[in-house]
Amino acid sequence: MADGTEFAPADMKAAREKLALAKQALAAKDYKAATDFANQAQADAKLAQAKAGSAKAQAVSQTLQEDIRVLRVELDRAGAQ
Amino acid sequence: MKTFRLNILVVGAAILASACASNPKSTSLLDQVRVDYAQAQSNPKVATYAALEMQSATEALAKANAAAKERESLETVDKLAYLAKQKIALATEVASRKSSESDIANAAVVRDQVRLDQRTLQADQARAKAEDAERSALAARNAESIATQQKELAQSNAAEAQRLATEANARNAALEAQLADLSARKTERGLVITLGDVLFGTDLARLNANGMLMAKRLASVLQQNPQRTVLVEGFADSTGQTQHNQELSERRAMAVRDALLELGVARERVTYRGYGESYPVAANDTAQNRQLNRRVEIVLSDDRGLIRPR
Repeated sequence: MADGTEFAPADMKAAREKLALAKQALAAKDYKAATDFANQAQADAKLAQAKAGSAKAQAVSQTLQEDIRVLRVELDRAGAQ
Repeated sequence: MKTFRLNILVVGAAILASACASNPKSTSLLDQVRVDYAQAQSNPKVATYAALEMQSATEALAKANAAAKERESLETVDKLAYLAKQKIALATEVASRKSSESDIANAAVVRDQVRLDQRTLQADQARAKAEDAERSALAARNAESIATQQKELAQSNAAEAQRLATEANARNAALEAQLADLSARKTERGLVITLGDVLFGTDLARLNANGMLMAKRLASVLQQNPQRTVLVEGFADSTGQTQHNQELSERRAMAVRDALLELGVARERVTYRGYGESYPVAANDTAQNRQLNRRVEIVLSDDRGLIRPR
């Protein structure tokens, strides 16, 4: 979940807090609340993970597009010689 | 068709009426989630890349809507709405990631193609450069070859000229040797043979036996040197009438010419002139000196058959 912390810190924080709440509810034997918090924590964590994945993919894609742009400029320059 | 549309209107009105009647609960969060959901549904990337996640989100929203319709507690509706909200966001993010990954795959292909184009261009340029260099080298070699040929030709010409000069010298040397028996002299006009008075009968324009011997030797030399011609010049002393001396000198020169023709020398190679008392080689004071003046001189031409006139 290191990526999640880096790319989606708010969602990761929310997930951790919900997880803590779920544990508290479990300790208090409030199983209904524990289930609810656990479900929320899971949804938050999954979203954080997905955000991290999409951010990374976007960064790589942009880098590649830039590489291609630079290559094309070089090619045009070499072709013009 | 008309009936069908009417039915829809009736059903729609029924739903509206029931909604007003039952006054279903909603929350601001649920309203927001419904907006999010509509946006996600209109996003083509979500349909393409996150169908599964979207289905899960749809189910979550349905639960929240159902809870609202069943008038469950606000808290319960919001909990379900929150889960739906996160699942909708998840579907959007997954769609974004997969779309980016697809872009990456495509971009890698494009990048490889561009690199290939670049290398092809470089290779083409390098080849063109190499071909230029080769053409230049070939031109240089051709120029060198032509220069060598010209040099060899010049050397060959020089050698030929040298050979001809050597041959000409050899011929001259041979001619001089052949003329040694005839006591030829080298003069500015060429080689000159003098036939003295003693070779003719006294006051006669006819060669005696010794004179004929000299004529034979000369004819032999002319046969061995076909490029040469001769000029036969007759001279007399100053004794007696000038007219007589002129005629005598001419007759003697003609006698030598006739002797050469008889010996087989071609007519066009022999010319003759009489000079009478002119051009004495000694004073006409003693008998001995006058005998020196009575003579015939035979001038040999150069290699080309030319004789400088007197």
